[in-house]
Amino acid sequence: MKRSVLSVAVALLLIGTACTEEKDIDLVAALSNDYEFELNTTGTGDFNVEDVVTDNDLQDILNDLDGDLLAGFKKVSIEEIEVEIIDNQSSATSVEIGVVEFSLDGQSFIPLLSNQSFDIEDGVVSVTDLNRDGVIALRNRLADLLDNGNISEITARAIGSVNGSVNTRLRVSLISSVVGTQVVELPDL
Amino acid sequence: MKRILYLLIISAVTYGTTSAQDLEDFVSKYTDDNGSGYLQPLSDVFGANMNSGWFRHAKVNKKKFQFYIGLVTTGALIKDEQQTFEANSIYGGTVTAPTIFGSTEAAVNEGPNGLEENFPGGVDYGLLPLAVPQVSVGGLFGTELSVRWFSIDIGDDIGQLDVIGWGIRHSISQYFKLMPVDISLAFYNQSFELGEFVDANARIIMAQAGKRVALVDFYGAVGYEFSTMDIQYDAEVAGEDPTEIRFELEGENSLRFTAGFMLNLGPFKLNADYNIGNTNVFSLGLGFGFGIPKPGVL
Repeated sequence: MKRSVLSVAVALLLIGTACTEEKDIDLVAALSNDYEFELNTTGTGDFNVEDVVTDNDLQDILNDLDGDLLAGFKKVSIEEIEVEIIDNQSSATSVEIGVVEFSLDGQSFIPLLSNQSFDIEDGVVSVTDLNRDGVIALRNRLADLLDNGNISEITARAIGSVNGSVNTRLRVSLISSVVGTQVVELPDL
Repeated sequence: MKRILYLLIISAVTYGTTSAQDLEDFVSKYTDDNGSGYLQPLSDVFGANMNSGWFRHAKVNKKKFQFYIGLVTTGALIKDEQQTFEANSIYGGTVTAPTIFGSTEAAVNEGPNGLEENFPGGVDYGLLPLAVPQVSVGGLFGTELSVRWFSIDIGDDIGQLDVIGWGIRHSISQYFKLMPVDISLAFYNQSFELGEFVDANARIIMAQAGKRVALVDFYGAVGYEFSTMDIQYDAEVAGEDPTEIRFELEGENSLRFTAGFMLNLGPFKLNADYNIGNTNVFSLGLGFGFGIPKPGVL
């Protein structure tokens, strides 16, 4: 009888501890890149401005992804494109955006937003009328580069005109997320 | 977020060894409601686990000393509905996404104009075990005290894991002559702290009944349980400063029914029971005890 009790004791102690298994778990890392453009004009003025997220910024992103995530890179998604008018201290009343476009690693620009007109009231404008083909093209190009584990720069360009702007800035935010597979050793339950 | 996984893993393997490195981004994009929804089942299941396995008979001596020391192992059964939750979409509405116990596959929600958002996968578990040593001492005015305690330094920036529990129960049947079964009222409280990241607490108040037949004590109980879990971690979004996320999860557990038996092999006690509640839990215990006489002997 003592022997069987001992067997049960050992079995109890071994519950969950003896076996582990590896599971591929999909992790998601959110990436947010902000681009700010100065729109300093008086009266009605056109703008054609660029901002670049360079190697250092992207390296931070890659570090945050920890390498392991990229090693199991699965897909990338563009979650949101936001356009915001900030620091409006003057008489600016509207912004006409001809195009907002992005370029990865010096490749050709991909237009994501075309011919949008914003009245400046709340100062924040969320954009939903995106160029679907552009979003998909940018996503695919981002995926190609991430698959190779290397992006050196992302350039954003905005072209348009602003009415009566001094100290007005245009912020474009590109929010994306990366799905990667992490092999995790978990208890075999 | 890997700290949350540590919690899960550590509890699951009786504080065993495994590596959950490099999981910082696991739910880093989750904040507020979605973070709560993702982790809510962890609170429910953990609370149910901690409220289980406290007793193995309903007899508390009025005057005679009684003692038990043993290992309590519980296993919470994770239901299908605890493996998904309705996440708030940035495009409006909700989308069904895995919880921490759900599918390992990420959920993808397609938005307008080619946009899409992703939700992390879970660990795909159907069971979460927990094990902790327990000591019970009774025999003074029909009252028994129980204590659970476990502490270990996890290290790796996680900190100390402390499992501390206590309980008290009082014999009701001692006041009634010729009571055919033993009846006790009990209250148990257990906390689980993992560094600065997780502070979980579970409490249950219950009425217990039991009767011995030959070598076997049959027992059952009805109880009402409560649990909370405070979670704190840094959500990391690349290019931004880490954002401290704090929220309290309240367990959805409520009424609990227990049925089980204990096999008396001299001083060795082997028991098993099943608990039906918001989360169902089975419990196994093995220990050493004495001073627990048959019913009617005070």
